[in-house]
Amino acid sequence: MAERAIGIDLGTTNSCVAVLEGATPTVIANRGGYKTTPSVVAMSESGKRLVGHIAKRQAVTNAENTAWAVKRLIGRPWTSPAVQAVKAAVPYGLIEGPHGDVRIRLRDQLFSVPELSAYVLQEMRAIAEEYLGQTVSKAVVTVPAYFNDGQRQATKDAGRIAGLDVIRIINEPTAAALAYGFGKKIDGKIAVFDLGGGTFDVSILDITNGVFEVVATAGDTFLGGEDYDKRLVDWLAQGFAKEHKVDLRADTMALQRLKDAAEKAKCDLSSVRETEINLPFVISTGRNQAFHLHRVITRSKLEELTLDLTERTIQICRLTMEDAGIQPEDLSEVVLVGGMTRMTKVQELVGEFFAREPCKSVHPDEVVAMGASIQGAALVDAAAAPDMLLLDVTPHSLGIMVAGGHFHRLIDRNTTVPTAKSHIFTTVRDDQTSVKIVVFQGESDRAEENELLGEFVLSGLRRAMKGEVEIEVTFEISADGIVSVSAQDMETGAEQSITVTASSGLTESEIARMAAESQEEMVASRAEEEVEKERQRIEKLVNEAEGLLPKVEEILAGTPFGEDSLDNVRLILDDARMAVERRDAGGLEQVAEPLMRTLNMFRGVVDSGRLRSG
Amino acid sequence: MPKDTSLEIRQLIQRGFEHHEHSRVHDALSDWETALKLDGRNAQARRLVEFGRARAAEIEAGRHTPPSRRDTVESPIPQFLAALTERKSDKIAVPDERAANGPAAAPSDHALRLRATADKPAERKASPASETDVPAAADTLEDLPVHAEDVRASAEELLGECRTALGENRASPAALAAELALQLAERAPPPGVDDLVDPARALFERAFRAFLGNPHACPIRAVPTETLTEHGLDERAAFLMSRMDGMTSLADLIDSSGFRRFDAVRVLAALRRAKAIDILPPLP
Repeated sequence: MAERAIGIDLGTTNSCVAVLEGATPTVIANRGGYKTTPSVVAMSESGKRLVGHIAKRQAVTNAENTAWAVKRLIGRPWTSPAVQAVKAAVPYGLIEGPHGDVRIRLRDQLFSVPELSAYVLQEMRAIAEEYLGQTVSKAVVTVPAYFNDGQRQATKDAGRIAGLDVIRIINEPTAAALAYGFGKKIDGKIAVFDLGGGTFDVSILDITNGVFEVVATAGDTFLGGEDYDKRLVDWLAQGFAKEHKVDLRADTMALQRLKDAAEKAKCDLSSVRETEINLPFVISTGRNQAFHLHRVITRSKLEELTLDLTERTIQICRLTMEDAGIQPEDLSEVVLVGGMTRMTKVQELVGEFFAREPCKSVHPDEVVAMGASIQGAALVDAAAAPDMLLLDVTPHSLGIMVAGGHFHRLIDRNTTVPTAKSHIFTTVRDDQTSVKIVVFQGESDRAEENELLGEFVLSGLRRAMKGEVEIEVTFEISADGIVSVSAQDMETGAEQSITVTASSGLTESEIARMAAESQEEMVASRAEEEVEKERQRIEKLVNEAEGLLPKVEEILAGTPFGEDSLDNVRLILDDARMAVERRDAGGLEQVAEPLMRTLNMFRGVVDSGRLRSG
Repeated sequence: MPKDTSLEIRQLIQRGFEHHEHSRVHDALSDWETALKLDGRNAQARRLVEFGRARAAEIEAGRHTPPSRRDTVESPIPQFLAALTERKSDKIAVPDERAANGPAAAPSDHALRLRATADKPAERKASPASETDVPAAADTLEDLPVHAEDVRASAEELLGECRTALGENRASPAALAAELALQLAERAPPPGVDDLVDPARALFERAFRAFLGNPHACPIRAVPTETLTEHGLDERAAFLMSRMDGMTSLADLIDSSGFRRFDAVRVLAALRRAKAIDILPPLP
């Protein structure tokens, strides 16, 4: 069977997986029939790892042990303001990791951020494998266009831990545009308006002859569907408190139900003008004192409660368009991405701002994964998407720190990737044998205000007078947006050794260990599933045999087939029952054959008994 | 926007659940069948259709009576607690589900003798009213004229019954004895019986688990959640019921409840006992 590459939209709130089947990208539903899976990981009291819907459904009642929106943390150093903002907002524990990275505490275990993202990727991989009926190892994973090198590298690491070969990292708006434009002749600039569960992004892309170029991108990593849900939760809780003098938000079970109901109502209101929120027995204040929540909410009320949030997205669009020097009339299309864009008010304001009806031909929740699957298929087999060339740009300038703490730009932002730029370094002291280069990404002229990518030490330089040794250092940004560095002595042509000091993320050995552990867990989990399947099969057989036993005993009474033989049969049934109850893999294997033989014998005896009596 | 079939399916399945919990089996089946028509690969819809058809056939054949308020409300626990305070009563049986299910079933052979009596003065304080009145149920035994030794003896007997029943694969009486012992411990007057009951929690959990059956089976609501108070159940039961979607297994419900495992298992067993849930077979 030919190897296939899947496309994964690893979202802040939800993730989605797709595969190109023939010429059609197909989004794969999980076992529950949902085409998106919450990017939530939790540890239960028994130490079981929960991923997806099941983890989300206990996120409030087991808040301290449930990690969500870890995408906001991936690849960021501990000192990053974004990390500190998340730390203040989430109930799960964040601590500084050994490399200045972020670690998350769930129960008594510490996890790196890529590790938790890997669990989500693993889940998406499993969903795809179940659907395709074959092992999947190659994937294209999407990231926000503004992700820097560290974040992209950490996402790739997550893929490795999940046992996936991430053949390409692509920008989410690019993937959306790819799916939107796939099989069509599209030329011109399009806007991708992506309002998801936890983040908002807007990107302007230029599509020419199959070339997709992101020309501008911006967003807000703390603006999404959850903020809308929260408004609704507050409205419901306040109304309930007014009526019953009880704050539902103070009770974790009630709050969990309230959140679930608010999200559902919000979704419903995209298709109906009003909906009922009905939470029977949501709380009690004592014995037999049950309170039920019952409210009707209209679409206009929801719009009123959340208008400022929707308007914030439009303000960001305005700034992005100004930054890119683009007028609404320069755009040929506005593509809506993210579940929140189903909300009619969002569509209305987007339409007003861009002075055109937004495109509604693509599934907003699925379009990014679909685009990733198209790219994946093209990378595995160029014939899958002929004439398709995908070009992204680097969202941040890349440079180094120079004397005085200034930031010296080597590659400007919005430069099309892959790209490379070289810089000549010389020694500043006699007999200097090493040079330290500190690399940053960002737009500030002060190096320290930008994101530190890493420190590179060029060592083993030949001894010479200052200024005599010239080293050419080449900075490359791959198609994934990941930075790499190589160095060469200009005179001798010798490659210089480069030491990379991790400023965030994981070391190579940590990634390898986590990948091995994850693989072992997956194997164990599959083995466990197999045992369970066999246990269920044997249990069914035992039940049938036990059901037939009285009849068999009756038929065989007084026949040469003596009580001793029946005792043997009873022993087999006892052994089988014990193996079923103990979930004993070896025991199940041992009893399978004699049990089947016994059952066949029982069936034969009962049938012949029927014939005789008939 | 393109039509969102998966959303439509979820809505149909949900509406089916609402019909089912109000005993409108045919309406539920109709919604689940529509969901299955929309997506023939939807495992959840398929299982629900199978369940709905089987249930409709059972009703047709008179093998299943939809739960009515009267029979779902019935719980031996208030009766048991009341019995502890009865002047003359000295015996209460832990019913065996087999006995309750029909005349063909064997009667319980493990009746429990509970030496509840008001003849002896209560160790702490006795309520004068309770000397003559027989309360229907009590929140606490502290105010009732129950001798601590009797409570202790009853707890011991319940523990014994739980262990014996579990050993004989009689999960229902084992689970009921466990529940009664726990309620007894929760309501017992000082010095209480925690020293007896707490170490037996592992035994009780086994009893509850045995009563619940296959941990991979998936429960669904069989009665409206708002009626749970009539079953003597609290908002934890309501919370667990709100998580039931016919796809989430008992094991996953326990893991994802956010409750302590023991509590989750106990509440689920109480729901099953009250016939407030139906159990679908495990996912294929």
